[in-house]
Amino acid sequence: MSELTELLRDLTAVFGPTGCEDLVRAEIEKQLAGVCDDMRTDPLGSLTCVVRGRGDGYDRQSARRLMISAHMDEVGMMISRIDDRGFLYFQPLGGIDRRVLSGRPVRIYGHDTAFVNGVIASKSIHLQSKEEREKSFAVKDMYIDIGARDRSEAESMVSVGDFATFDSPYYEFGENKIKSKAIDDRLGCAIMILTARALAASDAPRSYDTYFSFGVREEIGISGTACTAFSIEPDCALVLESTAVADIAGVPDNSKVAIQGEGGALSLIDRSTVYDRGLADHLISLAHANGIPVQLKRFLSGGNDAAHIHKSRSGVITAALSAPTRYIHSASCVVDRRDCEAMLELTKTFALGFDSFISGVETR
Amino acid sequence: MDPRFERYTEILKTLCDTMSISGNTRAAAESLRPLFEGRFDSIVTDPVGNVILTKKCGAENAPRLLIDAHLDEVGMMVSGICDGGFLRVAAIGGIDTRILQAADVLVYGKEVIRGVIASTPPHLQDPGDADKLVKMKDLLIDTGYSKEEIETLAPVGTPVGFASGLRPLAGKILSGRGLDDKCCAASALLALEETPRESLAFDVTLVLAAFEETAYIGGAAPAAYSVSPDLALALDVDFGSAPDDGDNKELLPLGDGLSVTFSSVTSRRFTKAFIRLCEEKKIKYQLCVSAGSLGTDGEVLSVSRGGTSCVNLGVPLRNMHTYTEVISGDDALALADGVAAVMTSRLMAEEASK
Repeated sequence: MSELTELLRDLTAVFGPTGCEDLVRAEIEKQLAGVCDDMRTDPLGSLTCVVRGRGDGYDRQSARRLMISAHMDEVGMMISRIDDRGFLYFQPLGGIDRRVLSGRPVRIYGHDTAFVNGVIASKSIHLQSKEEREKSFAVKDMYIDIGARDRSEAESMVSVGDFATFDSPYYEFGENKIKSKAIDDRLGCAIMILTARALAASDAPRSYDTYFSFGVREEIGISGTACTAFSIEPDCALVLESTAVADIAGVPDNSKVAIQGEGGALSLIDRSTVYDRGLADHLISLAHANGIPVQLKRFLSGGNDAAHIHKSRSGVITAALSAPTRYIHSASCVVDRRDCEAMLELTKTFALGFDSFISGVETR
Repeated sequence: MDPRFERYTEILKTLCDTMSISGNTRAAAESLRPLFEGRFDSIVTDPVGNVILTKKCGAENAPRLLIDAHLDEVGMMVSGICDGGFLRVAAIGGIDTRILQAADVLVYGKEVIRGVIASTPPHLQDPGDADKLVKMKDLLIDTGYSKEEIETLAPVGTPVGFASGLRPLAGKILSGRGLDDKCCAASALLALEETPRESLAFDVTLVLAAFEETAYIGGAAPAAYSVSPDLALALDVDFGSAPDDGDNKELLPLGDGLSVTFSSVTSRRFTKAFIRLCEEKKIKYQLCVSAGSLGTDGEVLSVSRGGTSCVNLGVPLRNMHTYTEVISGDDALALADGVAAVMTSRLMAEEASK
């Protein structure tokens, strides 16, 4: 395993569904201890860490700002009702296809910070009517079984409003693949941690401040990163994400979105952002000059925090670099290790050499 | 923790950690040898893969008791290999495709390799697609290998199973893959472990049967023929009651004890005798009815040779044929008690000898 994959393994294991990111933030703070010049948490729970410029030519007042952003939250569930028999009903947090819910093991963050094991039930096939056998269950008809005898036992362990996630461990498989829950977007967080460390360790002069924004609530769209962007007032932003790809057998080439193994996928346009072409071109040139694999996202789909950042205040030059991710928003996201490392290299190279880009660009 | 429940869980975990998809029980029996060694007078795997374990009572001409719990579990098999090292699979036994997309699997090829069942990405879905269930033939398993490599590692015919292990829920509730029917097999193994030879009223044969999940084949029949029992107990899971019961008011709640089935297929005389034993020994049980069929090996055992008296027992189970089946450890221990009660009952043995 590499430094990146070890960090990814540790971060994906942390419990952090949308709205309950505290445990992830605590882990990231631990990983960044002694690295940043300033770390602060905002009222929504987003964490911002600054690594300032240095050397001749650095002036704190006029320093330009690079924002690198990833979100801490993963898709999950919230308990909405407990019935008399001790079964738990839930609502999803984030866009989970109902076809990847039935029968899954889950963990609920219950009383006294204890984790409770559960399973999302799936009616025995033998008992299903003909109609049931042909359709997926609606989420409102799904429930979590924690093995409680009755309401009273269930209420002694969990409450309405408690959070839950898939219980799905990290493992590597095949030649280069990684599977885990929450790769979206703990991979982005891991890349940011290693980039922050690289910046802090570099003595080379740089005129800009680099803000690392670990956001909350991205998966529901009412994202905390909109507020972080407002607070930071960046000149330029790079969003690190996961993007859903379909590079599997039987899918026509023009619907695959991006190909695993060919590097991070750079977005030009998606459902909520038209990205800055100049920045995208710069990142591509940088990648080619340094032998770092990179590809373009080749389908108009998806959206991420760039939607909030690029229109913040009077506008921000924004790029999004995403790991091609199979089976996104399920318990088993799959990425390619080579793409993860390529994204890390490109992010570090860009962040360390940001002066070469921003010096030629008017932003304010 | 209750040491008896701990031991039960240990046995069950050993069974659950062993892949025994229908067609693979012979190989499973080999891995399970350490569990059987030293506890039985004979350990035999027959030509169709039934594991036949016998413990004699030591008396001459003792009546024979056959206890059946099927060892095989549902699973899949590689039916094709696509570009990018993706596998096509066929189902072995009844599998609900609703639990498959984005599930973790293990591919039991030249080595055991991990895989993930692909799920449809959002941008390729049309409105209304989320309502429809994917068909088995349209599923793909992502192995992370190239087509050439996976053709060697996991050719057509390779078994593929779900990668989940035994997981505790609240109290003595357990969840896992293959609890149908390993939870009953574990109860029987525990009962045999706990009952000294001198207490046995029968020569007892435990058949861990092959091919129950592919019920139209009925693998237990050759085992019943070989053993030629005077009385048979078929142990299999029953449907546990849950919020999605709908109109069905006859499903059994977990925690209310072992289940006893009334049916036209079973012996009413021996079923009633078993209930009297439970009353006498204060073993918790609940009744259910499966009038014209059993859906278990009991069907096959009852018509073995010239006819065999059969009693159908089990425990309630929720989420059947998923990788997160749910049972109550209390019910499983009650089943172990019930099985032990029959094995040591002189009255039952006398009745069976008639």
